[in-house]
Amino acid sequence: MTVGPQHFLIVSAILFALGTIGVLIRRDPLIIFMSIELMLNSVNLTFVTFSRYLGSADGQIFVFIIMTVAAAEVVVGLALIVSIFQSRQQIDVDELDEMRG
Amino acid sequence: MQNLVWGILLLPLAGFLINSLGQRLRPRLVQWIGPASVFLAFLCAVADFAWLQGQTSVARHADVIGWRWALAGTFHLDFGLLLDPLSSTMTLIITGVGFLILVYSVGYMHGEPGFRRFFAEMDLFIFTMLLLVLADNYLWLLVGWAGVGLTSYLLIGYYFERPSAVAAARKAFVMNVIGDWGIMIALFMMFILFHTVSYSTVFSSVHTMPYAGVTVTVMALMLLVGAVAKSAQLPLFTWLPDAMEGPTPVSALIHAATMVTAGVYLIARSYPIYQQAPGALHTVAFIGAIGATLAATMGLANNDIKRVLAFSTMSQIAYMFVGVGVAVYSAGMFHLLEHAFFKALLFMGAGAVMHALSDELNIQKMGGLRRKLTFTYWTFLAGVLAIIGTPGFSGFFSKEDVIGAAYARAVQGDSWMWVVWALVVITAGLTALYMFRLFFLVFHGEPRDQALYDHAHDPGTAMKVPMAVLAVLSVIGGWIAIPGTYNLMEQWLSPVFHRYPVNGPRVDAVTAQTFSVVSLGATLLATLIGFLIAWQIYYRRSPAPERMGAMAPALYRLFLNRYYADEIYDTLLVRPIKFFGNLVNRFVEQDTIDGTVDAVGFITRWLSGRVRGVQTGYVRNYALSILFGAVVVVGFYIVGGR
Repeated sequence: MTVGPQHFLIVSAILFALGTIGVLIRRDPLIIFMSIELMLNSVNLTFVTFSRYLGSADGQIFVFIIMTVAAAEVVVGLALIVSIFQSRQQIDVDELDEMRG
Repeated sequence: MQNLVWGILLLPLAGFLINSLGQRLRPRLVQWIGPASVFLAFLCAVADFAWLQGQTSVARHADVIGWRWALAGTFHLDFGLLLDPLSSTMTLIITGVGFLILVYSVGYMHGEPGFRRFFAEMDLFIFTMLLLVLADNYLWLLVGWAGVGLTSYLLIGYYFERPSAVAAARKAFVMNVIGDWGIMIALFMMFILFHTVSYSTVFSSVHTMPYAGVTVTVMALMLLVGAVAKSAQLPLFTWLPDAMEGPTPVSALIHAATMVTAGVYLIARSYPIYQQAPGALHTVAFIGAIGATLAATMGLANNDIKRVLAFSTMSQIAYMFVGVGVAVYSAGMFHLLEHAFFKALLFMGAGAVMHALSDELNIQKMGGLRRKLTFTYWTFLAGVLAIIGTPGFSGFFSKEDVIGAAYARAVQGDSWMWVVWALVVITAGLTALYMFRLFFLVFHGEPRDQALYDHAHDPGTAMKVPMAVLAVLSVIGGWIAIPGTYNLMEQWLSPVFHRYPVNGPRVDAVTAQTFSVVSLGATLLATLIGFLIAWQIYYRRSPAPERMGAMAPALYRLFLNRYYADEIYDTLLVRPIKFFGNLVNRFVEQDTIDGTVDAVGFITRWLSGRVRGVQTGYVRNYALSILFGAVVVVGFYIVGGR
């Protein structure tokens, strides 16, 4: 069988779904970040696929932008995590519930 | 020149503002500003009086418009002042006697706490009273009316630390409001019928209404409610004896010479309405006649020097009511003028006695003061002789005017007037009796409280000079009219009472020229008998009130308790109203209104408690809700929405 764009898109969707589930289910903030990265990269795959499929470079350019944003976000996010969880041994996102109503 | 009328009105207002806003003013300055502002107003009043004299008789009517105060469709109302003989007379009395009383107060209130407040409130009173008499329409009259009610409340309750004074002030004010209601109803009727409340239009139009019809009678009676409340006549009189809780100058000015006469002024001013409603006129005359007699009986049994004078005031104002009630308006006004002189004098004398005896009020504790308070004795005597109508004194002429008017109306064919006449003649006798009872008990006989007697002394100059002036006026003030010959008062006031076309009893059918020996003789006889009885009982000895009361115990109790009017009102009106008020308070105020407001709060809190549950604080829950939101939005576009 020929590998067409639909296969790539399906892979991308699966990756996105896995990333989402990871964000919702996992309790370790680092894992949650990894899942977010997974979601971003699945979107990258989608963009590249369409770029190749439509013959336009627009998608690939946007991938660059997304990567830049992801990198910046990781920097900020990891800094936050480090400062929040500095004093704990085990880190668990469920323990941050002081902002409850 | 007629614009000086603004000066009459506004100068006391200036005095009030200066005294009330000047927190740092020293008493010496305050005691100058108060009387001075009123004195200047008096000068303006005299100037305007002279100006009026200079006009021809029919031209003595100046409507000085200030500005257009209200404009609503076809209705308009100006703020204007009316200068005519009637209002000029009133302004002279208010500012003249007011000035004398203020000078007296400088001495009387010396050293009292709240000295500045006193003079400020007195100036405010004079201002509002002037507004009442100078207004050229009923609305501004009502404003002045309410204003004098307010200042009366403030001044009765001057010693506000005394619960009895506070209660008296409140009582006076509540009864006053009943009167305000009456006038308002009359005002509403005027508005509906004539589309205006200004004197000129109302008075020109009222004679076209059905004579003695229900509408005009109701209007007149509503005004009468106001007059009765303000002038402390039957049945709204119970506030006046209690009002003696205020300082004596207040009693002299407000509850003797001026405010309580506002009712008489109102009726006289509204004469076209009353002319059109003879039933109302008769009511006025009867309220006057019966009230005069009842008040005299109440004064007979009382042992408080100021309260006896209060009942005397009620009785004399009832005479004025009789005067206007028989449609001889100038007679009522004449008595108003003279009464202002001698009543203010009598109250000043009472104040002098009180000051001499450390504020003692009970006449049973007095006696023999003739030797110690000589000046007060003679001035008080002048007042007493005037009030009982001793021939030659001021009260004689004005009382004769009123009594003679009633007699003349009776002779002319109005049979009801015989009752009125009989009652006022009897009252003349009673007046002599209770006034001389007072006089003898206070000044003659043996002192019944030696300690008080020893410290007694005549008052200071500030108090003596006004008393002297009023004593002179009480003696000679009546010579402006002699029954049977001339009546300058009636001449002076006639342009006012002939200005508008009226029906009903002819205003000039009874003049001073109508003089009756029978009436005069009967009155003098009654007065003499009253005096002789008082002489016989009280001149030398001072029998204990219990012994006197034992002669007719039921009557005595009736008089002493003021015909139980207070108790009757309490049972019939005060208690049901309080009960109803509590009911409304519980069911409407607390349950319904408060309940509704509380419920709103309760529901809000409950709702927010439920909604608060969304904020769990867990990051993952929030992530989930973001996901849901994203799904909804994307799904919306997938399904094909724009």
